[in-house]
Amino acid sequence: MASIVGGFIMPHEPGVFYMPKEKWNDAQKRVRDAYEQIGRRVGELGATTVIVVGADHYVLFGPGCLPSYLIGIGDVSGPYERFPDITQGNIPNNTALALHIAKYGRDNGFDWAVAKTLRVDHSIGVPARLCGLVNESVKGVVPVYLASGVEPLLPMRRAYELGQMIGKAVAAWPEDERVVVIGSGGISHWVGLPEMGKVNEAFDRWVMDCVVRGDAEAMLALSDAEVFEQGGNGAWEIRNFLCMMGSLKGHKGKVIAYEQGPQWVTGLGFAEVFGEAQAATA
Amino acid sequence: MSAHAMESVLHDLGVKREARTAFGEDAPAFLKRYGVDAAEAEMISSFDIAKLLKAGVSPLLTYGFWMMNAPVKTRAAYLERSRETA
Repeated sequence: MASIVGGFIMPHEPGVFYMPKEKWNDAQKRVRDAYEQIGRRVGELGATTVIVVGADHYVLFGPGCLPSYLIGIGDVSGPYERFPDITQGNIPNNTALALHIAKYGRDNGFDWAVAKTLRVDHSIGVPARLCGLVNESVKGVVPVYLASGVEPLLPMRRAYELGQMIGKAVAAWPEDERVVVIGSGGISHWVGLPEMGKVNEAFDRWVMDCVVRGDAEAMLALSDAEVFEQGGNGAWEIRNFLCMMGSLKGHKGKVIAYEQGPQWVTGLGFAEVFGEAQAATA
Repeated sequence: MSAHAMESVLHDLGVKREARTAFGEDAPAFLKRYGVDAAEAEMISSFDIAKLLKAGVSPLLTYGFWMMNAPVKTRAAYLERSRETA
């Protein structure tokens, strides 16, 4: 029987990855250490599949077709961006589980868009490489894109409900599978806007607090306009966190790290949400 | 036309090398393919980021467009242009 053994949030700010190792300052080292910590935790949890929930940045999908939510059910590769120490190329997918989630969703009121081939960007490719595929136990990465960057946005509550559906789909999968769900996104950032570079640390820490308290409703109470006011257009990516939280509804967790600084354009939050086994003892 | 047509232009200029080449060689001819009007073509040709944003073009596209096509492909130069007022 399959189960979700843990969830994580993490950023995918390209500035973290473009910088060669010899130029890392202490803050950059702490950020990269946070990715390593999560990679180790994914291994400790014995994860066999990692579902990464990311955001398209108006690159993979163009004005001709903007999916509300999409799952990769076939060949996956990426990230398409070249970073100094991150592998590109094929990403193994758990195609059987991905197709099951797509079909389960369509049978239960969630009309997934599906991709039979998908070249992912940094929002999925980086978490896949740094935190999933570093573990021998992880045999597949299932990519999920939400409309969390380009308007019109997927409603935040729908993202949360989608996560709940993913949780139910995993529970209904008869194979032995230990699944980790990653919500990939920055917190406050103003992408491409005149305010780009500004960060609202108080908002970032409030979001992280909601995540580790398992309090989705506090986040869901915010309108997109209120999220924009507090955290800019980039903060709309918190629906990626909500999707993960939906898959582990009400579960608590712990903060792993938080950083912000002039070398990046977003608040960088890292946290774990505990799966059933750890939630029972936490 | 609309911000949608300009988004189509900027998306192509962000992701398609052949579009960038065509735009660099003959911007008016390239922009004619998309049916943008004269004012919109001017906004794009002159990299007028502030006006593009005001017209409703996605900031994700304006930033990608700038970083792939502008004469000075830096965030600082982009921000300076985005903060200009008419």
